[in-house]
Parts: sequence; C-alpha cells; structure tokens
Amino acid sequence: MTFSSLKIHLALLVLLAAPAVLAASAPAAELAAAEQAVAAAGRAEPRGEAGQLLSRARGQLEAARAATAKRKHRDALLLAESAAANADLARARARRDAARADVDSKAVRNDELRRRLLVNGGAG
Amino acid sequence: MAALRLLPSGLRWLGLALMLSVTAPAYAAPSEHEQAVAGLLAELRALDSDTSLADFGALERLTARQAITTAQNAKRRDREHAVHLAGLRLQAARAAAEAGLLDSQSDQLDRERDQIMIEASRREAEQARRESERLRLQSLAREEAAQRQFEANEAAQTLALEQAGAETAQARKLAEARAREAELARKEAELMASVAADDITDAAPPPARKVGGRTIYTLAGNAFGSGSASLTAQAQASLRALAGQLRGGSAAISIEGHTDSQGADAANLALSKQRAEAVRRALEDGGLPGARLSATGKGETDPVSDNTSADGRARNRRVEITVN
Repeated sequence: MTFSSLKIHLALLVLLAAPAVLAASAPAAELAAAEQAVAAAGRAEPRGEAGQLLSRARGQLEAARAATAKRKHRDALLLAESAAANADLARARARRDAARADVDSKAVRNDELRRRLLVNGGAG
Repeated sequence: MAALRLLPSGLRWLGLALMLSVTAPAYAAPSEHEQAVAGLLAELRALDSDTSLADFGALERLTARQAITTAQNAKRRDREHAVHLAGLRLQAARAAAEAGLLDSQSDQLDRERDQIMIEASRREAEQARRESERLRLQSLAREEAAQRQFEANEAAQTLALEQAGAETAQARKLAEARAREAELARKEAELMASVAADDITDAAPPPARKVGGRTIYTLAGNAFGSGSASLTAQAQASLRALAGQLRGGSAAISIEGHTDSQGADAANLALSKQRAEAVRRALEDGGLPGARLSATGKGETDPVSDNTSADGRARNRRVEITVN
C-alpha cells in the first residue's frame, strides 16, 4: 500500500464514520423540548383519550432519559421526539375537550335562561 | 466511473457500493413511504380546506407541515418514525383547530346569553311600564269617579237645599195663608157675633167684684166657643155694655185670660192670650181707647178654683177685666 492510497483509505474511513460520531451526541435539546411539552400538557389536565396520550408521552420521556443514560443516543432522540409529539397532541385534545364541555354547558345554560326569562315570561 | 479506476483494486467494489447507495433513491419507484407522505399531505389539505376551521390552529398547522416535510425528506431508517411524528402533529393541528372553533362558539354563546338577559330586562321594564300605566289609569279613574261623586253630592245637596228652601217658603206661605184664613174667620165670627150682639139690647156687663180699690169684672169661660178665642154674641153684647160704662173714665184697664189645667200648658197659655186679646178688641170696638187697654194671658197658672171637678174647671176658665 502506497502512502497516497493510505490517505485515500483514511479519508474514506473519516467520511463513513462522521454520521456515527454525530449521532453519538446526547439529544439534549429534544429532551428539553419533550419535558416542556409534557409539562404543558399536564397543566391542561387531559382526561380520557388525551390523558392516555399524556401517559404515553411521559413513558416515552422516561424511556428517552434512560436511553440517554445508557448512551443510546439515537433511541433517546426518537423517544424524545415521540414524547413531545404525543404531549402536544394530548394538550391540544385536552383543550378541545374542555372547549367542547364549555360549549355544551353554555348551550344548556342559554336554553334554561331563554325558557325561564323569555318563554315563561320573566324572572322568577 | 473513471474515478473508480483510480482506486486500488480492493476498494473499487466499496466505492461502487457507496455510489449506488447515494443515487439509488432517485431511481426508486413510488414507495410505501411516499404513499404515507401523500396521505399526510392530503389530510393537511383537507384540514386547510375546511372553512369552519380555517381561522384556527395556525401554529399547529405550521408544525404539522414542517413535520410532513421532514418525513418527506427523511433518511430511509428515519422515515417510519418521521411519518409517525407527522401524523401526530397533524392530529394535534386538527384538535387545535377544533378547539379554536369551539372557543369561538363559546364566545358566541356568551353573547347570546347577554342578548337573552338584555331582552329579558327589556321585557321586564316594559311590563313594569305597563303596570305603572295601568295603576296610573286606575288611579285617574278613581279620582274621576270621586270627583263625579263629589259633584253629584254637591248637586244633590244644592237641590236638597233648594227644595228645603222651597218647602220652607211654601210652608211659610201656607202658614201665612192659614193665619190669614184664621184671622178672617175670627173677624167673620166676631163680626157675626157683633151683628148678633147688636140685636141684644138688654145685655148687662159681666159680674164685678171689688178688690182693694180696683173693680174686677169676670167674663166666664162660656163667653167663648169650646177651645176657641171667638166671643159669643152674648159676651160681645156684655162687653159692649161694659165699655159703655167705662167710656167716661180714664183709668187703665188690664185684661187677663185664664184657663183650666186641661191640655198642654203652652196651648193653654196661647189660648188665654188670644181670649184676652179678643176681649181687648171687643172693648176697643165698644168705644174704649186702646191706650187704656192691656191684655195678657196667664194660662192655667192662676186658678181660682179646684181643677179636679168640672165646676171648678169652669170657674177657672175666665177673662178678668181689672179697672184700676
């Protein structure tokens, strides 16, 4: 093997190894984003299906942290991203469910007011 | 491909494999991944085309769009994960848009509630106004009725007063007419008695007695009709004779009428006065000046006998003519 062919081999090795080196760094930003998303979803107090989504997100966040501790950074990255997406979905659905309950309640309230004040002819 | 000839023979196959791995996706047929991404894009377009949701969830839509783009461009090993994330982001975008629409509906329901309250308040105010107007009209009607009643009472009172006045005037006229009638009857009786007395030429004065320096003539009760102050013709003639006797003197002559105790005191007093007056007129007619004559009635207060017997009562019924 000549010196110049050795340099080419080394260059190819560096080229092939670079993605692996990059992927080896911990997904700190994604973990932080997932933690924020989970916390925000928790403040929305999701119930039912939304609550299950939040539970899933929390589980994925824990798993991401565990993967990070084991230096399985790619797994940690995927889990953190899933946790953030599930938490955001949980928060959106929790807000939608709360808004729907609010609308239903106000519709009932208005019907009652209309019946009591307008149909029956006055406050009582 | 010429560059591969520069490589050592051991690395030529490795270089060829590397080139194929870089250029292979450009030649791949539509894959399951591409179909999944197309599905996500179609779902995003459906969300965007929903006019009821168009104004809501803008940030979540942007996030979903970026996630789909990421999935579109993801490396092979990341594709499944990226597609899954894009699906979650798309669901979140729809949920956020629906939440926005519901928030809008909630605001609309609040405005509707406000309108209901305003309408109820307006109706209540209208009802209060109508009630107030009803009470005002009721009060007005009562006042008018009271005024009408007052006016009717006043009219009735005025009419009653007028009627009373008319009745009083009528009664007064009637009394006057009766008095005139009685006077005329009395004068007629006296005239008739006087005419009759003219025929009696031998009448004597009433019996007299002396009491102190005075002479008292007593005209008995039968000189008058029963219950009447009209002198009988005989009494008229007797008094004319007395007047003839007394005509030459100047002594004052007092005349007192008396009754028995039968009947009411006031009636007896009035009758005694009327009889004394009748005697006074008879004496005046007989020629005595009126200035010498005075007449009073004593009623039943000065009896000369017992009123328990008919004889006693007859003696008490008298007119005494005292010459001083």
